[in-house]
Amino acid sequence: MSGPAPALAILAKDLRLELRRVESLATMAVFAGLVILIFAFVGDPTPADLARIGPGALWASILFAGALGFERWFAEEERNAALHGLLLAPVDREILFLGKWAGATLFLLGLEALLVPAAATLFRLDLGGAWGSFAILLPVVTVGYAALGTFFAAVASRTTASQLLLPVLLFPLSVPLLLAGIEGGQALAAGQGGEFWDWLGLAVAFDVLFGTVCTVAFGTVIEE
Amino acid sequence: MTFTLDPGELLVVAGPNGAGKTTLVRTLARLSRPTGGTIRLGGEDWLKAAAERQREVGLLSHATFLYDRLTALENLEFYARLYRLTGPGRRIRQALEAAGALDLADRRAGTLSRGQAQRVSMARAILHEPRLLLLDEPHAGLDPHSVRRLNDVLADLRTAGRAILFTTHDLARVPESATRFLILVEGRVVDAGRRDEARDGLERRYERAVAWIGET
Repeated sequence: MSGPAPALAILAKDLRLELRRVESLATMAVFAGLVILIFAFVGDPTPADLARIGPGALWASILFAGALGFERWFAEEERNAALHGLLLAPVDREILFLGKWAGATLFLLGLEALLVPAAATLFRLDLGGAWGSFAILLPVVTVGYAALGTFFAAVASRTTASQLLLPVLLFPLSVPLLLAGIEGGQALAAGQGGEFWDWLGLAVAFDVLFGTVCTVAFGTVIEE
Repeated sequence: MTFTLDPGELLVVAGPNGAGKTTLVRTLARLSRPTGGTIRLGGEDWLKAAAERQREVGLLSHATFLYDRLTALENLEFYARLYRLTGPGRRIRQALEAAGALDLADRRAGTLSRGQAQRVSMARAILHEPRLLLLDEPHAGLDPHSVRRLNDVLADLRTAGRAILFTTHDLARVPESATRFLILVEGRVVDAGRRDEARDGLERRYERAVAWIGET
């Protein structure tokens, strides 16, 4: 195997590119914020309703904004056929995927750093002492979603209808993760610690399964 | 098709659109998987060689493989890290110098003209000092001055012992330093020989070969 250095090089490159394209993260944040706002004001919800739908609204906003991001992040590799530059390098395809996956995870976590306080305020989410548990759930779900998003962005990029194809492929397979995020969050809000760990376990299992499958299959889908 | 390419040789693969030139280059670069046949690099089965041996090949095509929002220097620093080069600063400077792109180091790739971007891309292709350099229609979109400049770089690389494969459909721009030629039509080699033997007749042989295929 090529070792972690090339993956770190890809991660550093993606971060640098993203910092020079702040409009991308800003667009995602505005879009996600609007999704949260819509949820917060639909049907004149009571405080109890807000607390119940809060986790769902948060994860829905991450799901949609993430799909926007995956497509754009991978489009950077398509411009000037830069992807060929990656594939020409003496680096195993799995390592290339790990670099792209790590970058997508960091971007999503950055987005969530903005969205979670907004959602907590709007939905008056009071997790009390359970914020620590939520801080575990959040990255675990994000890692799995970033793996799927990176993989399917690569798949979709090989087609002529990548913008249409990506959500069609990504959303159905993300349902278990979305459920784990929503139900895990609601369990924390309701003080049901035991149920939370079950959902967290599901998310971890998802990460291991799909992280492995996507890493191994990346080389095949990316070849012409 | 069967052919060999030795160190210090510059093989021109000429052919009309659709002849299979890009497919040949992509297959040699391992960007595409062939449906059959074998490729040997330094005696080893190239199609089964480890990813690490990919550093023996460099590719320059009409696409630059550069990131528009990074400077030329940052692009090369990224590739140097990807290839895990030792002494990257020195290697980058040498590559930029060899490609005549040292003055472009601090310019963002997205702001470069076609010719300038191609020079930086040439620096990228030779940064890791590959034994085999593949060039797929590298003159596409270049002005005559940039073509001459690129051909000068190729002459230097050939003299330095690199094996170079150069595809084109435009025989007027074939580098003077070319040593052999091969005419490809519809995926088949229809003519081949030494460049000096065909110095005055390469275009005629090319036209004849393409016409002959058209009639059959």
